[in-house]
This record gives sequence, C-alpha cells and structure tokens, in this order.
Amino acid sequence: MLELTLDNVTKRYGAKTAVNGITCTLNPGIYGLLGANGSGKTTLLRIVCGILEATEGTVRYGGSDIGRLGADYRRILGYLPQEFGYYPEFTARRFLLYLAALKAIPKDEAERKVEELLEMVELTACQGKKIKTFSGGMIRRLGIAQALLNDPEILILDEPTAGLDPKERIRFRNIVSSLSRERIVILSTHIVPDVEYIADEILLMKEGELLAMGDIGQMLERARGRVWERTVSPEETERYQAYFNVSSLRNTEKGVRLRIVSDECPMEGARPADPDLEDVYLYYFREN
Amino acid sequence: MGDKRKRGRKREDEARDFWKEASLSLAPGEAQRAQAMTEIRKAVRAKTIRRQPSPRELLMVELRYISPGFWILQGSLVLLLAALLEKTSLDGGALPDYLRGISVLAAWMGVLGCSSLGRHFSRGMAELEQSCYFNLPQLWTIRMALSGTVDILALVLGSGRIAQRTGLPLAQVCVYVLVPFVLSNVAMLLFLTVLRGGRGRYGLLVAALAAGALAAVPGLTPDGEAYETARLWAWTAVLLAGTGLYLWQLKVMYGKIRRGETICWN
Repeated sequence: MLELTLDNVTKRYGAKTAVNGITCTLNPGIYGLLGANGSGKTTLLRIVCGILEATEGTVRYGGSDIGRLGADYRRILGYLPQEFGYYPEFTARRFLLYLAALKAIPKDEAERKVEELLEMVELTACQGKKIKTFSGGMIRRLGIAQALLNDPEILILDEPTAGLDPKERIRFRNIVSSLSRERIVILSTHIVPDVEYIADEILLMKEGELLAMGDIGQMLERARGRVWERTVSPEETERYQAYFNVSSLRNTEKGVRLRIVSDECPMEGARPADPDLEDVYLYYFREN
Repeated sequence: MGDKRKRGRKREDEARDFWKEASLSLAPGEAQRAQAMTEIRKAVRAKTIRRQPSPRELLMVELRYISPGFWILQGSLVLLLAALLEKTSLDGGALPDYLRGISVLAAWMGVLGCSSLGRHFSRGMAELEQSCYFNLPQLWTIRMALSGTVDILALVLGSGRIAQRTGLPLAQVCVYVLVPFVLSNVAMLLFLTVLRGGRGRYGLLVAALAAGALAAVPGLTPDGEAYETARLWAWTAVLLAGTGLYLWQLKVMYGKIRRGETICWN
C-alpha cells in the first residue's frame, strides 16, 4: 500500500529547532496540516518533498528512503511551494509545458495534460498571456495546475489558498475534493475552513511539534465538553475576550453570543456547545 | 411415495441453501475487495515501464526554454569579439591591443553565463525546479555546459586569430584569454552565492563593469609587460588555481542545493 512514513523528522537551524521529532505514517487520503505561521509547516513539507535535508530522522516512501529514491521519488511528486515562483515573461501555457518537460512527461502527453489542467483551473482563456499580467489568484491557480501535471502520487500544497478570494477558495476546495483518493495529499494552511470539509485527517503542528493527528471526528471529540456559549452585553464583550479564549462572537437580538474554549465552565450561565474544527484549533493553540 | 419425494426435495432445497450461505460467507467483503484492488493497482504501477529521459532530452529542454535575451546577448558578445579582432588587425595592433579587448569580452562572457544561473533564484523558481524530475543541479550543469562551450569556443577561435597575427603559440594566447574568463566566473558565482547579489539588472551591470575594468588592467601595463613570455608561468598558475577554485565552488554550491540550504533563499 502507498505509504509515506516520517520517522523522528527533526530540523535544526543552529540553536533553533524548526521541526522536532515528527513521526507519523500517511496513507492515501487528504491530510490537512494546520498550524500557526512559523509553526514549522513549510520546513516539514520541504523535508517531505526532499528539497531540504532533515537534521535527524528519515522520510520513507514505500519503505525506501526518499533521498535514495532521488529522481524516482520526484517523478511521483507534485509540489506547490508557499512562495510560488514563476518566470514572468512566460505565458501560462509555456510555463506549464516547461515544467512538464522538467517532470519528464513526454511531449504529446504534456500537451494533452496542459490543456486538461488549464481547463480545470479555468485559465484556458488566458493561456497565451504572460504570467506577469496575471492576478494573484490566477497565479495560484497556475501553481495548482503545475503541481498536478504528472498526476502525482504524493501531492504537497503549501498554503495553496493564500491570496485567493472566497470564490476561488471554494473552487480550489472542489478541485482537491475531485482528485482521486488513491494519492497522498498534504495541504498546509492556517485557515481552518480550507481543510474542514475536504481533509480525511488533520495534523496539528505547533512550535515544530506534531500536537495531534486524527480524523475530523476524533479531533472534534477531543474538544467535546470544552466549548461553551454565553450571550453577554456588547459592553462586556471586550472584557470576556481578554480573559477567555473566544473562538467566535456573533451579534444577536439579545446581545453578543460568545463561543469560548475552556477546560471548565468559564462563567455562570455558559452552556456547553458542539465543537467545530476552529474550536479544536483554538483549544490546541490557545495561550494560557 | 409422495411424502418421500417431498422429503427428498426439501432436503435438496436445504442443501442448496446451505451451500449458498456457505459460498456467500466465503466471498470477500467490501473491505477485502478494496484491499485486493489496491494491491493489484500497486502491482500494476510497479510493473509500469518508466521512461528514463536521456541527457540529450534534458539538453533539448534547456535549449527550448533559455530566454531569447540570453542568446541575443551571447551572440552580440561573439559578434563584438569578431569585430574587435578585425579592427585591431586592420589597425596593425600589437599583442596587448588584441588582449585588452578580448579580455574584457571574456570577462563579460563569464558574467553573462553565471547570471543566467542566478535567474532561478531571482524568480523564486529554484524550490519548484528542485522538486522536479530534472532538478536544479542538472539544469545548472546543462546551462553551464551550453554557455561555457559557446564562450570557450569563441574565445579559442579569437585566440587562434591573435596567435596567427602575432606569431605567438596558440596555447599561450589561450592562457591569457581564459584567465579573465575563469576569474569572472569565479567572482560572479561568489557574488551570486555568498554575497547573494547580482540577481537584479543593476547588480549585473555593476558586476560586468567591474569585471571588464579589472580584465583590461594587464593590457594597460607599459609595453604590455604583463604579457611577457617570462610571466607565462604566473598566468598558467592563475588559470589552474582559478579553474580549481571554480570547480570547488560548484561542488560546495551543489552540496548546498542538495541539502536545501540554498533553496531557502527564495
């Protein structure tokens, strides 16, 4: 079975530990890698892609070290870096054909695949335009298309929705959902709704460590009994926000309804509520 | 008799039901079937003959995607070299006159060749290209081999013309001409990697001007004494040391790319 194993993966930059002893096994499915900015997500993904060497530990694909697999591993890899680079004077089509050539896709197949992907990310009409004329969202879509060129068995998307407007984010979610489940997709983000409905499993990273891993149901279960709701007056809102981990607040006719993440009932009158993934995120990332 | 037949039929029905139930219990369930299909697909994937692209294909990829601007500049330098040699020849110039011009052009060729490598970093493409089947060191090697071959060929042909006009051995002229070429490559690679400069147009312009000015210095010595045959050993030593340093720089650079240290510049 297709299997990506991370065994005690650690990356240090001098005294700073960016990724600390991450061990997990990934099977086909969509994995949402959630973590705050600077939590080590990008470093971990670069290690998984084989473009950054780990200080300690190994990444194995099908039991073989990815460093040893070399080009054979890169052949089945699709990657969208966080800072997606491009040659601005290239047209979208030329850019995709260039990357298809680097991915060793035969020319005829590359032509067909480029057509198909341009259509999928809705860039067919702009395929002849230079990338420097594209909006941020269009460039991101082009990035997603290039990651799919070789029909990768391992697809790694680092902050794929950064810079996308709500409509484009929905479109992106639909694209990822439509991908065959016979591949490992790792999608890193700090925006919870991006992965809430499409990820099979969630990985939570904080300060270089893997805090939790599990399917959405398991994650929600961890926060059950720790989410509370209470309606307060608008004047009190600020005070409560300063004292508690407020995951959301909504104006209602009776006042402001606060959603609070707390191990214990935070105040008199607070009622337990069903957790969602944002509550889970806040639960793990709350400041004590 | 009728009862016996009925009993027999009933027993037959019971036996049929029993075997039907037994066969159903032996049939694989949904999960087992899915597992078996996954195993089959894996085996199919493993048996797929993977096309191994040749270095020639990589060369063709590079040729197809090198920017036209690079070839225009490269071609302009070669044309300028030919024109300069012709003019010096018509003016009846001596060895230092020939070498002054060709040294500056050789230095510029080095700057141009290395600057095309820096393009991967200036555009933030290095990380993406490193994750592809043909990765960054392979692209660099092909690019360097391509531009290096064109440059060295042009410089050796130019040296041949000078040797013909001045009566000096070709090897000696080649040494004088290749020193600025190799040293500008060394300096430019250092500029791109350690100093992380020269990725913008202005950085390149400054580098080209500085390299050109330094390359012209030996030609400005009184009576071209820097090019006296007695000093050939020093030129040879500099050429060898420069080549060694360049190769060492490349080794260090490739190691950094492999470990991902350089990629994170993006």
